[in-house]
Amino acid sequence: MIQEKPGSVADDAAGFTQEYLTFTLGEEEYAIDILKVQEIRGYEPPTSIANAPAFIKGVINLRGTIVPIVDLRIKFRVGKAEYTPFTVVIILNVRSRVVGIVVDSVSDVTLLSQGQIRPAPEFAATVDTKYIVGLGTLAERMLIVVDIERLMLSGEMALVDEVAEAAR
Amino acid sequence: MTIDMSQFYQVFFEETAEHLASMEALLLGLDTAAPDSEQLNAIFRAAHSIKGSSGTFGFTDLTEVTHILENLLDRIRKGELALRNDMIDAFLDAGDILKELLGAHRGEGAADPASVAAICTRLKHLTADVAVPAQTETISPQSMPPAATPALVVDKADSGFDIRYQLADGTQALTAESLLAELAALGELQVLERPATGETEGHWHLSLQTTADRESVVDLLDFVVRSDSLRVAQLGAVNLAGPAGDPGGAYGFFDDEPDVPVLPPGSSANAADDPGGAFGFFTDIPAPAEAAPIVGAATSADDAAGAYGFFVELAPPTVDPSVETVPAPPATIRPKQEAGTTPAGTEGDGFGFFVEVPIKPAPPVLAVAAPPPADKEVTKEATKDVAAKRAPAAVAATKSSAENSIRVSVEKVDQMVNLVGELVITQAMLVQSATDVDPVIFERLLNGLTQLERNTRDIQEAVMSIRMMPISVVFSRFPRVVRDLSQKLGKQVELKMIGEGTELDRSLIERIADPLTHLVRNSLDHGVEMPEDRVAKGKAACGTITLKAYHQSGNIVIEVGDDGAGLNRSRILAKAKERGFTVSDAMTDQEVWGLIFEAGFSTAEQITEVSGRGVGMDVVRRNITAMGGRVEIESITGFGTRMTVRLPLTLAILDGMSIAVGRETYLIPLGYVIESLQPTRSMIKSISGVERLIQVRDEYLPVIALFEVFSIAEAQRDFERGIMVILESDGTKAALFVDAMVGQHQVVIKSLEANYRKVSGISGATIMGDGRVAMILDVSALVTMARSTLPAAA
Repeated sequence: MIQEKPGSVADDAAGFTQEYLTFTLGEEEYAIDILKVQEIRGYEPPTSIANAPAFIKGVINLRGTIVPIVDLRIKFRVGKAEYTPFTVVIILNVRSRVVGIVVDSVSDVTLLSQGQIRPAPEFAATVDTKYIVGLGTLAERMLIVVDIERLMLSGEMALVDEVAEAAR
Repeated sequence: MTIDMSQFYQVFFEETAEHLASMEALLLGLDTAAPDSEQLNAIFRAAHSIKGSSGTFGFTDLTEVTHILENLLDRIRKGELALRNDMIDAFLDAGDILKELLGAHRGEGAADPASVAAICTRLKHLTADVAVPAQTETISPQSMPPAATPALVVDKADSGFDIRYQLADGTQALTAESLLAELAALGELQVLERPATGETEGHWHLSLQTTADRESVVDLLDFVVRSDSLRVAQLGAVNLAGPAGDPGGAYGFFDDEPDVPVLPPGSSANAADDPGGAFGFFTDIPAPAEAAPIVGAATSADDAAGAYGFFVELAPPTVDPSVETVPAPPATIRPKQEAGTTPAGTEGDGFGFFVEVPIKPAPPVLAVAAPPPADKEVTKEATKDVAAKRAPAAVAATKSSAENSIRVSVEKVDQMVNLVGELVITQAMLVQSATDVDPVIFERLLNGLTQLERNTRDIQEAVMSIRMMPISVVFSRFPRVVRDLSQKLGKQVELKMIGEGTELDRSLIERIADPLTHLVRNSLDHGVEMPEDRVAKGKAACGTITLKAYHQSGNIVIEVGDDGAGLNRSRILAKAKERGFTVSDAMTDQEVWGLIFEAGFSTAEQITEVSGRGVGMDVVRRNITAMGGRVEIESITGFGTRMTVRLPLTLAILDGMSIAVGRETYLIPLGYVIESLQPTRSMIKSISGVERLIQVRDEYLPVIALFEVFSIAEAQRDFERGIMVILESDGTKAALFVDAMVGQHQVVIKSLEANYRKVSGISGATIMGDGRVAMILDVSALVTMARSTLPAAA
């Protein structure tokens, strides 16, 4: 659950620099720690799982591994959950679990120093702010930096057993 | 260091278990009246190997029992004693005790010291009591406990030995004395030189006038004294064995040629006695100065621990002074290794890796290898180093022996199986996409694909065969089971085994053993009659149980048959009524026989030790079903019963029926499917307005609508337009409503939980030929679901 450096360490102006993969969900831009990303691939319709929440699209065969696919657009309720040839799946490897997330597009890999990440204000959103590390500023763009590992392993995502069972 | 040692332990455990198993098999195969000397030798060798390697690892309890066992075997083998049935029993029991002891060392349960002592006494008795009348015979001496010294008869002292040795470090003074007592029992003993009383360190020089052969003297000494110090020379021919002693003789490995010195005396002994050489193994430790305290620590730890068997003795007394000054010439390592391995290689007994250890003339190495309880980081490295350097030599030794196999961890094989699974899928996808191309233009591509397909299939078969083991691994336990049990029950039974070479997956081997044992015991207890009953019925007094294994259409079939009384239809039915099962006299035989698999059912008139508690057959069936197999019974009253177990060849691959619901495809493990049918309106029955039952012949079965359970939209909701698949799990039947049946496949089972979580009603996932994922239904969960939801709906 511990990110390499918490967002609050901002006393050094440059601070700790880290690479982030940025992607878009609808109009919003998000950033996640690139070290959690295993690969990026095109969307292929997954095999749906019975009685799973709507944002869990199902599972795919990733070279012999069964990988669940989560549509973050549905989870975060941003944009429209449309599947076009440009729809992208980011395959994450969090704590040796492999999970795919559906996003509208992948933008680029960005270097962000801790100084560029401002703490997110408390606000009511579909995503619990505890999963948001902060808001990164890059020229005109605002990047929502997400603690993807914490989010993916949380009970909210219903991807992990014990939590999921308790949630039922 | 502990890790390294435990690696060696593991090999020791495996090898010892193998030796014990082969010993048991050989014992059971022995003809008591006319034992085959070759077989006796083989049994002896097995016992001997266990003794040797257990001694090496300091498992003295194992060594003691095998030593006594070996003595008796040796006498039988040499024709001094006639083999009797009670001896075989004693051997078998001793084998069991050894297994227990081995288990205790492995950390599985504990051995009962009383039973160990009992079996030792029993074996000694067998060895000794016949020996008394045989006046001129020499007797193999007993091991350490002095009280156990058997009655020995020595009438003339016409020959003798000059014996010199040093005791192993940590040997108790008491042991030293009892050793003397035992030697004295062999003949006239003169102590020429000895350390101060109560001291154990120092040189012993004895002279023994005895008729006993050299072998028995050496046998007495070899587990107490320092291997490199022992010198036993024929009186009048002193120094025959040379200054190095005779390591081969000392360890009894060369019993058949006791007087042949195996090693050229010079090299190994010199190397061993040279303290500089001893430190050749520390050369990789960066700072030689550091070596001194470490070795000192290891040595003292050894001393303190006291009981590492062969390892304990090995730190030469000269270690401390020499270590600071003598940087080891690495070159000394090689000669020692060779000296150590040569006898092992030529010895030919096939002890694998450990062969060289007992006869290793380079004790300092072993001093390092012995784990002192207080681990030192550097010592660990040193051990690794030693292990690494020894490895090539060990391989050479193993190669020359009969074994031509390697041990590979199951995970590696599993990984390979998985990868090949991927290859097969990829290949299938390629073939599929190549169907659209023009066969004329892409002729070479298509040829290549055909080639790929063939190669893939071959590689798949080859990889699968790695995991395959012959069923004889399981069958081999039954001669013993049948023997013990028929004796206990007073029945005469002959066991026939057919098709022991039939191969099946390793994981299945492990899981089929218990159910099969149960079936065999059941056949013996309930099937085969008492000899007098059999004779009265005009059958041979000796019953037959047949175990048969063979492959049939991608399954392995194992039959357990007996020519006993057969099942008694009326008694089963009566019993079933008594137990409150719903039965009718109109049931087919097949259905009646099926009743014995119900929980809490037993027709045995009285509960015996063997069976009759009514647990078992239901467990048998549950276990077999869990493996994706099934069990069937055929029985003719008065002629016998045959239980047939059908299993898939492997657990990783599942025979499944694919069905479609909406746009989804699911797989049902074929083992659960009884039949499928298209229902008509009249078959569907409703309870309180909800269509929940289907009438199949004279049964009402609950309907599980898969589209409902899995909330699938766009599915067929009209029962008449879909298919009902009748499933049976744990004796409960239910009808699963699906849209359509697609086909039958063999699929590789994949875990859904590795990256996701458990989904109720789904037992796993698989990848279909087109690369898509399909879910495998958890039939027993679905059937249970139907049972619990039925009242709610009604």
